[in-house]
Amino acid sequence: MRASIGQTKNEWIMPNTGYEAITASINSQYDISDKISLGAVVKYNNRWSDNLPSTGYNNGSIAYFMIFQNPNVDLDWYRNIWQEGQENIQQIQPFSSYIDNPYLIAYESLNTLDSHQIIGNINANIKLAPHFNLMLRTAINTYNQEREQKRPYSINRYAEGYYQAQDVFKQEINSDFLLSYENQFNDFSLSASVGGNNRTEKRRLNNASVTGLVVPDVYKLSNGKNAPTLYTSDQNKEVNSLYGLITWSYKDQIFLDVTGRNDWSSTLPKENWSFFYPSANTSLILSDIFNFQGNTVSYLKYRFSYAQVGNDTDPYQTRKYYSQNSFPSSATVPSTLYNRDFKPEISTSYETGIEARLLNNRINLDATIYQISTKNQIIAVPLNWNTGYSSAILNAGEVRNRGIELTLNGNLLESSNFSWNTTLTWSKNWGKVFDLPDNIENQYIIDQGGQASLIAKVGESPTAIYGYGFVRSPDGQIVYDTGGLPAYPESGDIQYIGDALPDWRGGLYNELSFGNFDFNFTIDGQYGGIIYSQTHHKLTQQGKLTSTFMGREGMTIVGDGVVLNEDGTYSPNTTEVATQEWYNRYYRRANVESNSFDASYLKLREVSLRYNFPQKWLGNSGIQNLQLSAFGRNLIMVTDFPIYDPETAALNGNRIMPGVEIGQMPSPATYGFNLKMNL
Amino acid sequence: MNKNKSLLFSLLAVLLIAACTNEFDEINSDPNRIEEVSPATLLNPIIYGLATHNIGRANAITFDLMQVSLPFPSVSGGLHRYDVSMGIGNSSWNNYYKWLKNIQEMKAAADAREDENYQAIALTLQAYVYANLTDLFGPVPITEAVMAEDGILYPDFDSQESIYDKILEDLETANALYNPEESMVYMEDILFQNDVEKWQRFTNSLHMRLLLRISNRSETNAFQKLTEMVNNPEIYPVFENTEESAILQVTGVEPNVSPWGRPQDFRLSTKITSFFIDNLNEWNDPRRPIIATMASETDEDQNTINIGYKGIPSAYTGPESQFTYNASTFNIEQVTNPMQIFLLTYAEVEFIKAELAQRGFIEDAQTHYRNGVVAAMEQLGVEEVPEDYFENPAVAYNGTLEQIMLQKYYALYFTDYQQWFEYRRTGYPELPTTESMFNDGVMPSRLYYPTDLAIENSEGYAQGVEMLGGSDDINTKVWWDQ
Repeated sequence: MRASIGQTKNEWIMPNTGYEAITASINSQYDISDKISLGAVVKYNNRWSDNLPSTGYNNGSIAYFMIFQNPNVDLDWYRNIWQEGQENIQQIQPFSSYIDNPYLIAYESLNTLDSHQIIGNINANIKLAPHFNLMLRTAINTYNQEREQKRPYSINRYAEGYYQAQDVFKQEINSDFLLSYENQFNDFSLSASVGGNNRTEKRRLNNASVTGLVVPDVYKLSNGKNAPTLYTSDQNKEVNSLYGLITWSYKDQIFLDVTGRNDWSSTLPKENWSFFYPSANTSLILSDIFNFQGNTVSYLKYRFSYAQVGNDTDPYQTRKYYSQNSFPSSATVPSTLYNRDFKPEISTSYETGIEARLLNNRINLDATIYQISTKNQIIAVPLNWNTGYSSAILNAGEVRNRGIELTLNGNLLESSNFSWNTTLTWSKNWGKVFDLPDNIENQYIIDQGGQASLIAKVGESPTAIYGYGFVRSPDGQIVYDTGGLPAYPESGDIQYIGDALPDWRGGLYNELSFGNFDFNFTIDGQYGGIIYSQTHHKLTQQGKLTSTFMGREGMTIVGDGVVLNEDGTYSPNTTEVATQEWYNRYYRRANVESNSFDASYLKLREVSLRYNFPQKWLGNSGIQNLQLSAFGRNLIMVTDFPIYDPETAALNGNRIMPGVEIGQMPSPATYGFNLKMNL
Repeated sequence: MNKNKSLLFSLLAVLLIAACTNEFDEINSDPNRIEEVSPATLLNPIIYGLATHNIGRANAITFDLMQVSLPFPSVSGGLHRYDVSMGIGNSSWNNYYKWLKNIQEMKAAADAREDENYQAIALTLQAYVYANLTDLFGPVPITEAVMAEDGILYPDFDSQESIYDKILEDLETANALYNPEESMVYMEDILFQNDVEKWQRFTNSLHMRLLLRISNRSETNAFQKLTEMVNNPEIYPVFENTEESAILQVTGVEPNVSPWGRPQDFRLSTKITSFFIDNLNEWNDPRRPIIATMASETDEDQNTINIGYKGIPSAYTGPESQFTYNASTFNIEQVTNPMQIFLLTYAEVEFIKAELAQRGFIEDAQTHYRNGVVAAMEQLGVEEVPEDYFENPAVAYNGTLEQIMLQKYYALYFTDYQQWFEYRRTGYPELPTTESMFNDGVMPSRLYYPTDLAIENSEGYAQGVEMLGGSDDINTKVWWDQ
């Protein structure tokens, strides 16, 4: 039996945000007889927070504040939060009421959380007979979360405040059995098992909110100006599975695993709710089989695998349900079209590779190539509203990804007091859309952010970014209109701007040690890929970037480009325009071309220096070893990408859209010390 | 023995699972949301959704194009200078089709119950929305629209002529369907509180609006039809006073609340235009304090002096520093709870009649004109029209369409896109132009199709563009404007 208890406190870089947690667990094992053992695990987790930060491109986030704040406003002017005599009623917003006071966001506009989670299972292991084992287990994972959103008076979205109380109950119960057989026949070893699983998931959300508070700063539903608006939602599903696994091996040189699994999911239409997916996996230790271990090649392994993975989806998508509406006895037509007969998602992957250790293990090589085809992914494909819906649940055709991953490791130097180990990694992926959903012609929009769209077209990359660009003359110059501004493209003239996926990624990891010092550093990066930056557009428009110095002296610009003459020829643009007008047009939000940038970067990801205290210093202190280290992460970044770290730029709140940056928190560098002691 | 045991377990498991799928249908049924609707289930969300969308567009688009207000400061560009952005029509396109889908289902529910009044209401609302859609864009889908459930993901586009044919016919049908004997038994509607008679008046008033809209196309005989309607009020009852008008009363009780979460945004960086306020000044109009705030100036001693109602010229040229006064902006009472949203009012009906009379189809233009002016004031809450109002030579009826349309422009204040549509039809009121306007100072005649339409319905988009004569241009005139 084991028991543990732990407490954590986490503070984020934003003031007044973070969470605390207490975890307690108990794990016991009991042998009833030499054939039967019972076990139980219970883990309790309590997590609470006075304020979880709001993120994303909206009034509630600090990132948004940073984009729109007036650079010549002293942040201390904001610090008192409330205007004198108007405490809790009117915030201080020097010069612009467009953005909220950042101290108001941090200290008054709060998102609280109180979460209680219990994870536990009881299990039994029964030795049925020699070589036969039966495992029975039921596991539960349940939590109850209370969340609140408190919004003070005068905040942008809620002039008279807002309060929301939310209860989330979630429960997942898994019951499974696994019958396994294991045996050894001379050089062969064999294990086989069959198992089954029943999983039920329940999720219930109760939400009550009031818009407008009678008394400022009192966050209770009964303090609402109107009766609370209620919203309830459930998400229930059940999945049953049966599976089998057989593993053979010969002399520990040849390995073969074969699996098969069938799932039944309640979320799928009846005809398709049962789906099967197999896998096979083999590896051969060639150096043993052909017996050529030596100094040059000490180990060589070949592996090949084929695997399918099936997936279901969220519940309630097979029938039409009207959306709840806050008018009494009212509803609206849902915006997503249900689907009576979609299929489960299946992805099929092939992977093969070698692993080699050369020159007395001085050089290690690992090389893999893979292909993953994802078929029938269940997604909400955007539709034009002229169909009556903004999206439809569809099977998304087929997308194929192929790639290479290489790892080369070398012990470059090794002596009694100096060693240097280095690892080089390199990877490349090619993505291609193979097939569109049934009924979808030509193309569909996978996702949109800012004014950039990811559009799927057969034969093209699934991470291709499209949008409006410049109008260009046949020789590639930017065409200006008669007003002296870059001309608007024709409506509907959407261009391919670039691919969000990099051409390749690489990394270099180094471990050096000399005497009692260990020194590690990691450099990595990517080459290629583009990101559309909405923040760049916003800051350029406001003239907040050093790249907008051009044209400030005379406050006019004659844009570099051509104008289309009436006879169809082009001549240089000579029209002078106000500087602000030029930036407004050139980097307008809808110009995905001018606001997209190469996302290549090279990053010094981590550096650490560790000192191992010599044994003789520790003497008889009882300490076996003592290490002191200093580290820094995310230290240097070399990139042409503006404002943000291109690696994290495309994280938008909790949603990731490759290739689109919409106002993210900058990624911080971290530094620290670490003292480690073993007794 | 071992083999038997494992076999037994497997068998048991299989049975267990086979038994479990029996409950899948029930598990995959949402315990919260409904699957069936009555004709009234969707109605209030439709009314509220359309009304709030429309008033928002009046503020965002019509006010700028039609020189009601302008963003200030705005040194260059902007819709008030006819700098029209490509995504300008996205919001109306999406909202209108969304609500058309809801109206379609409302109609289906009414059909299933053979409820004539709800059928008529659905047809009326459908015509109301399609008219705005086609007046904004020109050709749009109607025959195959909102039919994704029938497998139509790429609806064909219809010409504006055929759209008008269809909706005018629907309005005729709707008028015949109304049955005042049969009461509306479901949840009370927020527009007319289940008053069948008022709904019918709305249907016919809308019918008149749309006939007038296409009246430049003489082959439609719209004027003749309008004359017939006016002469047969027992068959075609229309609004006869402001009280029965289609005005949504926003009570302020959730969820029927002002679409302005922050009423101060209504006038944030916004000023009323000189054109709009100068006319009212000339007429000494009692609507001024309801619509606008007073302008002010700072004198040498830093005192703020009230200078009456004064606006900023739309599409002004030069820096904003030329305006040394703090110009009039909107009175935010207009968008704070409780408030009103105009869909179609009695005043408009009177101006339609005034135009018919001015054109010689019916009698008594002056009376209709005066009724319209008085009703337009009444709907904004003017309690008493000054006795000498019509003695002002600028207001006294002078027999011109221009004068009728100028007053109608004020009657259509804050009514979705109507001021703009009527301007496109008649060219009135005459709006000043400036040097700094885009588009050669020419008022746009339509909006661009939504940005993603070319991707999301490329064939339909191509059909629409072809019907427009080859390009998705803001200066292409729609069918009734040709």
